[in-house]
Amino acid sequence: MAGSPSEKRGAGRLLAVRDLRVGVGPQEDGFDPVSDASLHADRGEVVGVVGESGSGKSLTLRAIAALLPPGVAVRSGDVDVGDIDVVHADRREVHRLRGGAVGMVFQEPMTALNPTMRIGPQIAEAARAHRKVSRVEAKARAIELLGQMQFTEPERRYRLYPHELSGGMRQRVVIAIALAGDPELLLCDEPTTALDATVTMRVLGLITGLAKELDIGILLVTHDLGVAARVCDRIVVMYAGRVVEEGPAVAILRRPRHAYTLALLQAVPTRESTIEALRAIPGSPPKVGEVPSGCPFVPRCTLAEPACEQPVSLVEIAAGRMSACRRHELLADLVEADDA
Amino acid sequence: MAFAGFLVRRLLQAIPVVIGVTIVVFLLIHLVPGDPARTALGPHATPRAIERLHHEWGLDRPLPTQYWLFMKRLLTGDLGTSLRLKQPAGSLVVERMPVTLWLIGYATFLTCLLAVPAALLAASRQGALRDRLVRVLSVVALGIPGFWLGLMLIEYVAVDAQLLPSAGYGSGFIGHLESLFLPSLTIALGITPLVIRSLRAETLKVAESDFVTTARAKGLSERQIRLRHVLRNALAPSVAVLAVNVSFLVGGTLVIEQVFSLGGVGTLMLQGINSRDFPVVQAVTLILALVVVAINIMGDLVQALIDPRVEAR
Repeated sequence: MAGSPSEKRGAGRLLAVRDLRVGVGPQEDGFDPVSDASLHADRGEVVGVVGESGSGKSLTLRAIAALLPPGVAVRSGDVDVGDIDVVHADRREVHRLRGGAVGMVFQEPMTALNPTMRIGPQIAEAARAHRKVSRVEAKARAIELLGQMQFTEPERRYRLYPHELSGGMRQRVVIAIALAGDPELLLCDEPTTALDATVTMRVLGLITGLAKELDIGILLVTHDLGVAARVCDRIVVMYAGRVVEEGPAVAILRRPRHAYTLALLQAVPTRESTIEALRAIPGSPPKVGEVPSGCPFVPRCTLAEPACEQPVSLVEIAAGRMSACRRHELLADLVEADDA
Repeated sequence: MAFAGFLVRRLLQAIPVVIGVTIVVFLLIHLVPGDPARTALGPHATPRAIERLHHEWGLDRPLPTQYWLFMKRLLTGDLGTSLRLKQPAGSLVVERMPVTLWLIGYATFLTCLLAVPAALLAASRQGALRDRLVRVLSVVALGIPGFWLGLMLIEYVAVDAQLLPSAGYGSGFIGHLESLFLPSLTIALGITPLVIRSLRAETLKVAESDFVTTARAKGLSERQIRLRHVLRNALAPSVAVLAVNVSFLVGGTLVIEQVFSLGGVGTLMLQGINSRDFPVVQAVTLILALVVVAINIMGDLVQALIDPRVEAR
């Protein structure tokens, strides 16, 4: 990618996922919920991964942290986080990866914390897992993190149990845990889905503020385009286990170059949108294992032509823009006409 | 402070239970078919003697008055006088309590010692050989009757191998530990399988929780995850199972006491029943019932110590 911000460091990518395939069950007769995912992230950047439920975005995220559930495994492709080759990592490297190189924020703050342990020690143990620090130092670090997470009286909060906190507060504790090992990459799996609207903005503000302040990369999985529009620098659109479009957030949201992205955007209510203008995408995503060989969106696409039945891959259509849509030029014209 | 509040609340909740227990114990004497005084004194008692006992037990008064008098005596610590031994029934029981309490405490300790590692071993890899082995052994242990196991242990461990005493209570702390090992083990083996089953199932359930994934994402080792995060959360429900079974075990100790000739409360109870010594039977029943209530309260307290959310309920 020419002109991406990582070049200034000269170092390799913070995160590079190439042709990732994640499968469930045995190799021969299992199925692959993630069949072709490529994406990357750099320091100081917030990358949104958007798509409907079942598009494989959460599994992609888990594969990056080597946290795939039992029975689910990477079939092929590469995941590099800094200098760690995640797919072929041994136990020591997995330890270095989890919590050390990569911090993870989960969807459900209500269940992501151990109910029988005070929140402070839960943060402190994450700090101790990666640095040789004493208990006292780890505690000080946990209190410092609570302060960074905008808890008032962090020393007192250190001793609270999760059930004594609200959902938004718990999610801030989860973020503190994710940051305790000083990761370079923060993976957020729908971090605000379980929170109400006012808290959502606060948590999102915290997360994006961190990316700039700590100069770390953030991968934010969400199905909420509004959330993505607000905080992301770049957006990756996934559909049926594949990355179908990628590019700068503003460009993706203003001038989508994939029929699926356009359909997604038309389904989002805005202040100007009338009921008629609001269009739900007809049908539902293909079931895993029944994905057509060509473009997976064809059965629901209003712009599809016969050629779309042929296999298609993600190609660079403009500087920093990738699309897997044969009709991307038509889309460009359509959106242009709309703007005029 | 919240914990002290919880304790007080739990003690207050026990009051109705205790009152219920006193009613049952009080009615015990009336549940015996026929005239309790005649049953107690035997077929050759003179009408005068029966009359006297009637009056002594207050059986010639209306039932509520009888209960009132019973409670009044109870609150002053008077549980009646043993017909056979002519001694206060209450102190007869209290004298024999230490053996029984030792047995309950020791058996509970041994149960934990056996059940926790076995359950963790089984749950560390579901379906593996060690898991199947623990489960098979549990079923076998569950199927062995306690009195038979006690006799076998006496026969092979105490008599043949001369490793441990076969009977008696021993003296001093070490003496008790030694003498009561076999009876306690016998009792423990009866409830260990139940605790293993509960703890194994809980451990497997907790291992799938989101917070375990969080712990894994922190980069903790599987060992740290199991000890710090899984065990503690799996323990709370198993403590409840343990408390219920220790309560059952109070009944079980009566039999095991006989097998090992320990002369505890169980022996007193059996003698009382055989000689129709109602005050003794009542005293034993009441005190053992209080022990069961106390065990359940302790179980709740331990649960609250493990899981702070229990207090909040």
